Amino acid sequence: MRVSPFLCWTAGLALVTSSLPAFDFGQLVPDSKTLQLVGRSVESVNKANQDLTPLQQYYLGRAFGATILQNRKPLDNEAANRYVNEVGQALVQASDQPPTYAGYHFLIIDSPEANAFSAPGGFILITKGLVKMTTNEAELAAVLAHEIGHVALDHGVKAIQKDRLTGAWVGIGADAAKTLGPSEVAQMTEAFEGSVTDLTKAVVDKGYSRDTEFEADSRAVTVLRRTGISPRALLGMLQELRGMPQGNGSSLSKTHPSPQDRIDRVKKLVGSDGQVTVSPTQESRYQAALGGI
Amino acid sequence: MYAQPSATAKFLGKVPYGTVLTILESKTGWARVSAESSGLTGWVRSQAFTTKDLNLKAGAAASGASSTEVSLAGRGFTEEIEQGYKKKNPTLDFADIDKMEALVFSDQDLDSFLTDGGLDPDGGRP
Repeated sequence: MRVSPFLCWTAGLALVTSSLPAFDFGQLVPDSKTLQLVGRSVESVNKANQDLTPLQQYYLGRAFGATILQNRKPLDNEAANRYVNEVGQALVQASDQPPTYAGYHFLIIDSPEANAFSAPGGFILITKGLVKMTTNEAELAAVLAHEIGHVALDHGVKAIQKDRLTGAWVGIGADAAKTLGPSEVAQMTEAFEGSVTDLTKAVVDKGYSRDTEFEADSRAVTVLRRTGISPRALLGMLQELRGMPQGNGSSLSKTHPSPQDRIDRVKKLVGSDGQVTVSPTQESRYQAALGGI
Repeated sequence: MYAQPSATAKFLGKVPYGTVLTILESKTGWARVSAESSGLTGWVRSQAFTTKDLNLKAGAAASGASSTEVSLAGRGFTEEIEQGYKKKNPTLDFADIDKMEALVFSDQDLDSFLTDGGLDPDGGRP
């Protein structure tokens, strides 16, 4: 009966037009079976970040991606990008967070460094260097599942400074019946710019907190398992990272706990899971798409 | 959420932000839904939802949402704000983001990808 969130992102957002006790205000993704409700309340002014609507997260994610791609180019290889998206979507259908406004999207960045970035709205960027470190589809899935975990757990949204949004929204909220005037647009654009800066700093420079990374690993284990991939693939991937020469992956080691710390945590989660197996189909499509990059 | 398809029926509880609901059955004006996160199952009014665009026009608050709520949902980061941001930052690469978004898969494609690879097309759900 249930439809996976991934499958229902064909229509636009809608909103509640009558007030119910259950939903003060909200929006939904029209679908025959699954609705995503986004309730709102006046209190949300005080926790504006967490209450960014999927549409607003989408615009933030686009701007974040556009910022990353200022200095890094996408890998010009349609088959490879298509395959990474297929693996990513296969995982998204097993992830149980509400769907993003425009679904998840994945892109390989043409860079030898080993890193991956995720932004609100489901925009996930992975470097060629990291893709090449994976040895099979399961390990690629493990990397993508970790990034999907960040999106699902709203880590990007939480990285935005609390006062960024509150100020802008409270100021404009007082006058909601009018269309935005030039100064309000300027104020909102400034809040947007600041939010993108916060997000970029957190994801690219500072990294999320250690706990946040462990949470994303934990979510990845769940999603891999549901998809039918042994979560031990994540352990395999972390071992690859651990073996990476110092300096090679500086951008990733700067923003993540040490692979050994993550391995120790993940080991506790995968106790009863079997070894990683890769079917001949998985192996041949992995090689066909990524063997030559 | 109510125990019966009636606003006078027993009120079972609220459904928080971001909850994914599954529709179990529909009746004129009402739908019986379950919320996976809380395990709550009950009836909600189906007229609570429309397919109107999220970008609210002035006056949409008439239905009961306060002006603050309306502004929060409809006046946040929008196409208009993105355009202003682009103008201020002309070196940003939105073209590749548009391209990235344009790649979509049909349900059938995704199902085949999962099934062919020996993966679970139901995402672990029974």
